[in-house]
Amino acid sequence: MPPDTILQVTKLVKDFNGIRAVNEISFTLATGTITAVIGPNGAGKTTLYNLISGQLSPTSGSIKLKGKEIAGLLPDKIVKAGIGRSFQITSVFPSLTVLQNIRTAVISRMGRQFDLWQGVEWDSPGDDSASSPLQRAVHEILALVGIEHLATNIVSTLSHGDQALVEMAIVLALEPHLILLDEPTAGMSREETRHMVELIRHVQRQTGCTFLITEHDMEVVFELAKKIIVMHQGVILSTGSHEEISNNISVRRAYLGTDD
Amino acid sequence: MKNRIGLIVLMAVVVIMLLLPTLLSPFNLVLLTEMLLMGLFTLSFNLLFGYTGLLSFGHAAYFATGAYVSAYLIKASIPFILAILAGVIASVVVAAVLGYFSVRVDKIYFAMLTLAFGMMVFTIVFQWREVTGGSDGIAGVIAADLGIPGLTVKIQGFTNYYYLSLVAFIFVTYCLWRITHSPFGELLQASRENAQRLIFLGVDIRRLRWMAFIIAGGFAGLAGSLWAPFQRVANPEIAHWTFSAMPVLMTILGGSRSFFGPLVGAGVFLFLEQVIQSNQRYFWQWLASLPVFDASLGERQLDLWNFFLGLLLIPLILGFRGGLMAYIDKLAGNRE
Repeated sequence: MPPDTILQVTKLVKDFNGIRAVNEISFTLATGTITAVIGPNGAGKTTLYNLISGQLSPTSGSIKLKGKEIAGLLPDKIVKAGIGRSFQITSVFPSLTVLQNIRTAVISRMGRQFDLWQGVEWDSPGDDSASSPLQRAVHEILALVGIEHLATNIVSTLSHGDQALVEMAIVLALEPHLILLDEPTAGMSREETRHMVELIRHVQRQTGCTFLITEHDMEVVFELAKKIIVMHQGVILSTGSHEEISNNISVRRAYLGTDD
Repeated sequence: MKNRIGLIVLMAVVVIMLLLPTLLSPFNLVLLTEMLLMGLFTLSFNLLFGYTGLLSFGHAAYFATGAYVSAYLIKASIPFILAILAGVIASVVVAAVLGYFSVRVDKIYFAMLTLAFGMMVFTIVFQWREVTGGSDGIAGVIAADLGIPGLTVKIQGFTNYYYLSLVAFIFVTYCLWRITHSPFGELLQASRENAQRLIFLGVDIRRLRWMAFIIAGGFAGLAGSLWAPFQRVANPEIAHWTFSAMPVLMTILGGSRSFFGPLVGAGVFLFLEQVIQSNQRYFWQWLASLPVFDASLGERQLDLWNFFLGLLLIPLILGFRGGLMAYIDKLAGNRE
């Protein structure tokens, strides 16, 4: 495995009651890149995500993160190994504040989940005790994602676009090496989509993090991803740069389901 | 600003509670001690219910474990303080074992499983006559002194036992306040909101819930350990599932999403129970005086309390989920 490879997937297989949802998939991700997985519904993209993030256990095959086998580990162990993910349906803590949402992730990353005694120290940016490492970490993430002004809002009161930003912030707060985003712009307005694309690019530059993204919006895919993996019926149909993929008319016509 | 007001209110409450024995009759002091211990029990329950989102229907098991162990040891002339400690340790152990299995499920399955475990504990308490005294329980649980060598602290008498309970009450309330406001406490709330998200933030949610279960069981055990010498008896009633329903009802009454809600709920619950049970005969006498009813109705001691409790809970559940605390917060114009 070359030194700049962060993820190596080899001959990954997942069967559901005799149906092969993912069929001997192999690919690698280079450190610090953004890669997109595209394909029609039912192509196996979400199954692939669930296999990498540990929600599902593969039938066979290997998934190596920085050379370490992670296939079949439980989700929380895979997070600890350095993979964070978002969900197709935005997954946050709705009745907690934005700040608490992010703090939850920071507590987990700092390994303080069984810290029963130390106060979480502050409830709003107003009560300042900037010395707290917890507070500093949360503030850094708020700033990185650009949602400081939403810090004290209850998440369920925010727009869908803002909730997606909160989920992104939660994932970033884990300081993962690899981030899996499952349709990060689904259901977003044009403006929100723009903002999300900018943010992903910004975060990638700031943190050097590797991204794997599924996306239906081809504009977003072509704008962000250096490498595109086209999936269909559980296999990889084609892999290449956006020029290569977009020039491959047959792939687009047959499998992307888009006219642009 | 809000914190400062809260602190002043809290200090005032503590001062009043310290002074109450000089103002109240022994009868009312007993009621107040009952409120403190049931308050502890309910507060421990709410760590699971309000904070973690797990409805335990078997919390009496840990209360009863504490009560029976301390009762048994006090009867065996073990120093009071050691008996209490043993009661707490025993309930922690029982909670660790039963909790290990209970936290493998959630929602209604958790409620059913804890109910089943609770009934198992009840059965043991009820059947193991040689140790638990069966249906009679362990009676005559009396301790005169705290039992610390070289230190005389009398705990017999209503006033002394009230102060002892108050110390335990303040201790547990402080501990649970710290725990619910710690990183651990924050993760409990997050697990209540969205367990899947928390797992994908790298948290071992079973261990998290297990820990909450053990802490809740331990504090319930402390409440139970103090309950038996207070009532001078440990009887199987406190292991029954109907006793597990007490903190559930008290919490709904007071409000599960507020830290102090369960305490308010327990206090109001026991106060109303007292008021209604000591005045219900007037209602029956009045009813009997009406021409349509038989005059013998006035002599029957029919219990109105549970009927009244139902009437009280219906609007709370239908319209005011936050319980009394949400109402108080609204009046005070702030939100937790």
